[in-house]
Amino acid sequence: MTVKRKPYILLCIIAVLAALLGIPRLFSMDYYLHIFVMSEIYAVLALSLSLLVGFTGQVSMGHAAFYGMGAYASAILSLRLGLSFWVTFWMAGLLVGTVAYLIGRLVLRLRGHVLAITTAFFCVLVTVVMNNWIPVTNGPMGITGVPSPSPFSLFGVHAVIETRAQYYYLGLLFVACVVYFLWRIESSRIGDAMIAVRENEELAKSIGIDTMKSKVLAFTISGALAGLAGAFYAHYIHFISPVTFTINESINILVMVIFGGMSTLFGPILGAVCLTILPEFLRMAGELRLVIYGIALIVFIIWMPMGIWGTIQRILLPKGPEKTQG
Amino acid sequence: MTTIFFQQILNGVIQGCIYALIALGLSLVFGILEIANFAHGEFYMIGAFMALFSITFLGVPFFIAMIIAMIGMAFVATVIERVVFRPIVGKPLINSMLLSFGLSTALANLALYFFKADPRKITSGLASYRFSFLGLYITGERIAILVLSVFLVLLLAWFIQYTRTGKAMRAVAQDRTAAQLAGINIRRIYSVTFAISGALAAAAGTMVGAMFFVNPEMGFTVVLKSFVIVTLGGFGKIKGVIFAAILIGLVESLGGGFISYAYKDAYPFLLLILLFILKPEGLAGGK
Amino acid sequence: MFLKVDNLTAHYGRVKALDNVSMEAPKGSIVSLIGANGAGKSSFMMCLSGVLRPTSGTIEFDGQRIESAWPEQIVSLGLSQCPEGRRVWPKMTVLENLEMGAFSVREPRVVGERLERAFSLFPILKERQWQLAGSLSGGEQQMLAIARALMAGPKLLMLDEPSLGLAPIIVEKVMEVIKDIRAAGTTVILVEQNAFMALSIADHAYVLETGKVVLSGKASELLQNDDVRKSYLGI
Repeated sequence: MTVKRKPYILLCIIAVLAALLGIPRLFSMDYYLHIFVMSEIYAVLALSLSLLVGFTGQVSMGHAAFYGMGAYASAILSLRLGLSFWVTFWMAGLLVGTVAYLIGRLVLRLRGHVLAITTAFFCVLVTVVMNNWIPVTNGPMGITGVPSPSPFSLFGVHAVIETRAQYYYLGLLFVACVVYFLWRIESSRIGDAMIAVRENEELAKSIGIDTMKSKVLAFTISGALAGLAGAFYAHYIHFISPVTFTINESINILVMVIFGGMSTLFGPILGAVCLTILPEFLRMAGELRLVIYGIALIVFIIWMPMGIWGTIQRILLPKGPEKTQG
Repeated sequence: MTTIFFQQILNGVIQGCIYALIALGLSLVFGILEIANFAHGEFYMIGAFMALFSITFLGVPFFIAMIIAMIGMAFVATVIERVVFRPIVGKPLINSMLLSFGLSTALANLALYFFKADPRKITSGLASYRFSFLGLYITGERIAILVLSVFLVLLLAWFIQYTRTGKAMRAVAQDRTAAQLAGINIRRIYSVTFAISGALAAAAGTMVGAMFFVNPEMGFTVVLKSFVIVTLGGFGKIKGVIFAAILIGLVESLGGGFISYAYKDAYPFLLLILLFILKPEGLAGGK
Repeated sequence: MFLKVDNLTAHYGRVKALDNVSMEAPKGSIVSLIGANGAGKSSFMMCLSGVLRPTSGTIEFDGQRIESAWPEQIVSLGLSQCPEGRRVWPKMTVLENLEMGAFSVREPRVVGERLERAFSLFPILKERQWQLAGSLSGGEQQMLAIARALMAGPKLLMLDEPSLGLAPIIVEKVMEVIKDIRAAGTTVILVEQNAFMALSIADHAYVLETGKVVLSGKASELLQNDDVRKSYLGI
């Protein structure tokens, strides 16, 4: 990057930041703000999945299971034990992270399509439990009345999280923290190991990298973050039911990651935002909405399998000299 | 207690044979085109609807309806292969997974839009014949379904083993490039494979539509179970898939009968996870 | 000219595998292609067989342009390849492998004749005809692969590295077979890493390096060529 471009980049960043902070002013309608908050939740889900899929190269179709477990955990803990969101949020993350760790140790010996299908099964299993373990989860009827985050005092200012705009800012903070967290991981030695596993697992093992440890770590972190997103979701919508956390949702999130670009930091965010906002336009189509979604997915896979961000990167990055086969 | 046990075994075997029809088609597509087809459940569903409409609008008997459904679905599957799947043959598996998921969503919701969610039944006219032997009950319908599914599975096995096209299919599955070099038109083999998978799924759909019911969302759980079966039996291995299918049928039947009916759909998945714990190196020789 | 290739260029993704390769093969001759690993020899064969579509250039075989033809069309026209690494179908019997080799042939009588000829050329195959191809030794698999390619009744047979991994005594046998095939009227294109074998049996030869033809001429002359001797014959 030449010196000339630095201030330009900085300006772009400031502009984006200003835009992000100003969104509740520009789009004050509840409906629009809701879409933005959901985009934030999906951004976290997509980012966490991309750590596993894009960075470490392990295909998982079970992400919605962790999302759902986090939602249920936080909801149940806050309702049954009367704890505040600020506590149950972290408890949910810890709980789901532990489950993810255990499942990961079990399942990550598998590779490729077998892993994908097994994680898909796991997701279905969790859905079945959610639907049938009535005493705990209330079955298909779901859990209502999940409380908002309780008011708190920060620097002497009394703050409440009630309006959508307030949730939006909280969500923004959430996404920012996740981005920072993932950025630190991905540029560390842990991240290097994960990339090595993605590129060539056998080779990585022969160099001495504990590939299982890297994979399990990625799986645990991505699962825990999904659990946190679930907790946020539960206390935002105030109602959860099994129908939100099916394998369809897992695949939605996977599509966001692939659409936006798998192994970058901003690709998943781009994918999450696009694929949360665009379907809203499709609401006009009514019942055929999902049909259009399906067809769009087909067309997309055939035409642009590298993802939007990946395709953009390919265009922006200069091509190397044409190699002749060595 | 023992009669219930054997009754569930009988039911499980019949269910397993139907699963075998569905899973075999999926396994063939995977072995020959190296594509995971999540929309396979919709082939099953569309086939069931074709049979249903053949009976209600054309007034044909059950067996003719099934044949119409098989031929119809074979044709539709061929078109789908040409238009949707051909462009991504050879690409990484995740492409076909997502693409077929999109196809599955589109087809299932299209069916939902046109046919609405209410379950319907295929009347075979054979359900009223009841037989009992050794204290076990079975209807004429189930006997017919058992015989038909066994017949179709054997027909498929014979086809793959002894016919020219069947051998070509095996050749493509074992080494695609060598098959091309030998003058085998692999594009036609792809079409035939999809056609067969569609036909078998349609047959299974018709059978289930008669035994239980037909509705636009019936494809979803079935396709996941089929993936369990194919994973257990080994991708592309016919005998393995058949055994796995019957095993899953039995697990479902016995589990549903003796443990809990509500969790019936979960047992195959539990079994798979259990097996992975006990045999971590993978199963049945893999691909 | 039985086979005429003009300025053939081919890519694998962004990597250029062949760079303006031109070559000719007169009818009834044996033409060899030699070069190091990755020089483009197999890519060339795959282009000729229609498995790899060239980016540009033309291929004319027996008066017909085939560079955009489907593989099975090319086999029907009389151009057959015995690929690198044998690539027999391991879970099919020797007999089934041979039958599939004749997939492009419509008349069962002709298939039967060619089968007999294959068995007389390679008696070991007749002996093992019911065995699974995967259980054969390397040399036997090579014979099977050659026989399979011959089942299509080709006017031009291409062989990609038939000597790879074979004991010298088997390599001798393979060379004899190739000479017999040519004697029967089939044109042969032979790709080999074993340059000595390739040059001693061929009429004409081409040397490929990183996708380009760097040397060509009569095989006997190339055998005497200093550069060739240094780089490929280890002299």
